[in-house]
Amino acid sequence: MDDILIYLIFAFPLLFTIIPLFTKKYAKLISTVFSGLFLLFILYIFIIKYDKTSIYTLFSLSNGISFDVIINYLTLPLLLLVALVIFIAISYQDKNIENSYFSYVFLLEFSLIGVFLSYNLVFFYVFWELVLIPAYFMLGRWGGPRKDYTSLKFLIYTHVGSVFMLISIFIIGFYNNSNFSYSVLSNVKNIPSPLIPIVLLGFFLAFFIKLPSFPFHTWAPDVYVESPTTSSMIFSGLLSKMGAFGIFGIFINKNGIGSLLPTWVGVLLIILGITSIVYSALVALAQKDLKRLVAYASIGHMGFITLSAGVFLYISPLSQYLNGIKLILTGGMFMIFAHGIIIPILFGSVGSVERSTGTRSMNDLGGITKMMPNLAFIMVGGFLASLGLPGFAGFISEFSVVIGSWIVLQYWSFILIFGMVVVASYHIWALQKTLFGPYNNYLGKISDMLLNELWPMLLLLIIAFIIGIYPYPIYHLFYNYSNILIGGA
Amino acid sequence: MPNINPYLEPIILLVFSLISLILIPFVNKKIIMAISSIGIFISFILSLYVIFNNDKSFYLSNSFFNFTYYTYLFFILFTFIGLFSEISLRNVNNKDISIYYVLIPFSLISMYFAISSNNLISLFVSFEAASLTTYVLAGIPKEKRTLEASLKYFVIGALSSGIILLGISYYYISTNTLSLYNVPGINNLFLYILSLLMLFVGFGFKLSLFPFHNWAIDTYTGARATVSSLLSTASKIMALVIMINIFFNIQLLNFHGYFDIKTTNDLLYYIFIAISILTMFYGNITALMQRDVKRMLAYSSIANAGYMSMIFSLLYYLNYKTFINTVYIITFIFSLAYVIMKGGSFIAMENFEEYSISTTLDNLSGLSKKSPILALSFSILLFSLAGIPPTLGFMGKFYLFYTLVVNNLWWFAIIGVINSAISVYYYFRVVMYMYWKEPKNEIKNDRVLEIIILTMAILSIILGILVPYIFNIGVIK
Repeated sequence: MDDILIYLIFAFPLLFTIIPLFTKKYAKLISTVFSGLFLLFILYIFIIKYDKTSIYTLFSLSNGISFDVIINYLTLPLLLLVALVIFIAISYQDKNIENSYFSYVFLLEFSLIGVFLSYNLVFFYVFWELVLIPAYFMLGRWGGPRKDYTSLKFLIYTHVGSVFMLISIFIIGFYNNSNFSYSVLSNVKNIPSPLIPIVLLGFFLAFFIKLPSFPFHTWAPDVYVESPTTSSMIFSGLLSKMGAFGIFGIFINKNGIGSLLPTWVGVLLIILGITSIVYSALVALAQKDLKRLVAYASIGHMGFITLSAGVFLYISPLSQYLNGIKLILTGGMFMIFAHGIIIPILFGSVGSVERSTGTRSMNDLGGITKMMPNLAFIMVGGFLASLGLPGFAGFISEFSVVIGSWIVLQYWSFILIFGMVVVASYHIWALQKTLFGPYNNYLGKISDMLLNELWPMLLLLIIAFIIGIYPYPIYHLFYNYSNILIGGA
Repeated sequence: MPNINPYLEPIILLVFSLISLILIPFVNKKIIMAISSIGIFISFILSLYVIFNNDKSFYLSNSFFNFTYYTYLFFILFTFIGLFSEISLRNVNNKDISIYYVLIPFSLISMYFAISSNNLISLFVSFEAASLTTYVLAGIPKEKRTLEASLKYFVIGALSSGIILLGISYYYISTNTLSLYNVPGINNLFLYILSLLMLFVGFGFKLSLFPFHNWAIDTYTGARATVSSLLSTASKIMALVIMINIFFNIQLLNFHGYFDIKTTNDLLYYIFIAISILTMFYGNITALMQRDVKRMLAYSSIANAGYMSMIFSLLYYLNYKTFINTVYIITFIFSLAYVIMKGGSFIAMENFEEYSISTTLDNLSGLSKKSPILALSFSILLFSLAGIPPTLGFMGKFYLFYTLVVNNLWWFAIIGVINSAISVYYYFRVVMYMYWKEPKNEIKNDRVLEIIILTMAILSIILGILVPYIFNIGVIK
């Protein structure tokens, strides 16, 4: 029974990939229904597998290369997030798009689930790379004016990161008798020391490019801006989570690769994390394009993940701070979920503004609250959730990370706080420039959010709010996973 | 163990091609194509039969030939691509075209003997026979462009044959034998190494390794696309297998203690590695600048020759018996991927040449709107060439690079991986043009070609997933 459910998790998206091609004008409707049913299915799995760890072998190709699937504290919320964001994105999408768009979305869903659930490094890599193909098409075929440049940039950037990971996987596999299961990660100690930097560098590049973290972030604003709205939601909400998943699932796990990492990597990650937060906030201040501003907000949020990983690596040898370590780890992981549901609201509202007014430039907007009251509600909610207002999901993780990092950062935390103040100010500033103030008559008469845009965003906002005041169901899972990360049971 | 006579397949091919040769003046070219295709198909099935009824230790040998499991394995590839390139070139209205269908079985016979030779004389004769037929093939159908390609190929081919002959004579002087497997001893180490170098260079021309690659671009671009699909795959893989047969016998000599490769000639090792690296970088970097897709494919076939020649860096690792099997299997998986993706891509180019449309990127733009199946299949083949999983091209590179890492050549694997990352740019650019550029001119498409390319694309995905299962090679040691 259990096995069949796991097979179905993979079979449904793959099946949905084909179906939209054969539906004439109902592609959007059918895709929405399917993704909604799939979300319910995943919700059912979430409930029955809640707080359990189980490993299944779906099929075996040869010695050491078998398709194993793991459902645990980390992968279960991610699975839910994938199903949720894909459902929201498909619901948001207006139906005047070619059928094949939905196929690519479902193929992306399939590969993302594969990335998160695989328990074998080879399959992990295969799905990791497979993500590129639908993403490339979603960006390139329906993207903005600079789509050619951007799609190739995205592809090469992320591909370069992942090919080095392949070498790391090879080295790990070789020193474990050509066994590529995740379980061999616990005996990485038998890798000879000259090869360790190569192994670590491969994973580091792959995960931190995908995240994206500070020096490797340049693909992200371009990609998020040039993509169509729904693709931006998926890319920022889910693709960046691949990197986050890699960091928490593989990179810093003290039972695995994490045991090879020297403490200075922790310092490096702390610096990268804080730089990501502060730098992206400062760059966002200078933006005129609303979507680009949101893209930098997304990069800033990812900085918290890097920061929490860095703090963990730095203080984990000091066991007296156990609670602090758990707090910061849980905060970092919670950011995965919180960011995954908050950032689509931002991209969605920006997308509605663009559709309605025909521009994303903040200088051309102003006072559109009068014409778009529903949008104003969603957008204010989304932006407040994004800047970390208490009561929304983002606050839980930012608060945990900031409190937890005090152990290490001490007074250096003020840089972080400064960054967060800038984050808050550019969020408010953007709201003020677009929503409030005198109405720009140049825009003429504009329509409000369409129904298909409104309700998915409202749903996400409600979820972000519920999780913000009652984070336990998700927080509990991540808290349990933090026990695994620090090397406990 | 059910076996067939190893000479049966060449005889079948010969009979069918002779029948078609005799019938040329009397019947339509379609019938000639059918007859010779049937011959090739029968030998394809026979090779599969041998593979499925024997294990890897299958071995038949005499003083000229070693017919092994791997001979048949590689012969499957040759007949596979031979069959498809025959069928693809069916819409040419030229009287001389019939000879094409006669020559392909001939070249397949020669390739079969060339990869199974264990003696330099039989090797040279069959290699030359294979080369001569491909020189003619490159000039079919008779046009100014193809003749130029053919002539270039012939001149360079003649030069390489001369070098190979020189190498063979040095080999004879230094070992007192022409056999590759039963070497009584080496009396002049310098001449022996020189002969190996000569052979490497001579066959390196065929494999289009870096300093000897120039003919390949002009020939693959100038020749008809279907011919290029055969030249760039079967004839290259033949050269690769011959080189493995020759060079991994140094291993054998080393194994029997005739000489110690590690101490005596690091030179060879470094030359192999340097040539391989240069070939990869040259092929990939020049391919970046090509606006003509067929020419890009020609350059990428040079880059692929670089990946193939990475195998020679494994020469220095001992444990002969199991090791040579691994080398053959790795080579086979890479070659299988290469035949399907490169052969398929060149056949996709035939779709344009058939209607006299040049294969520039601009002409390919908007292909997905005009013929979605062709565009999708060609894209999958390009993903495979770029090494994106779960295609066969990924598996080929996976096992190749993994074997390198296993043998402590991780830095070499990293160079290969960097090249693989560079190549993504020019393959995906073609996909970009096909999918989201507006069509500039009329694109027609040929149903049969579409089906062939679709078959190749489906094969590259299915085999890509099943390769570890088929060969059960999770463990490479």
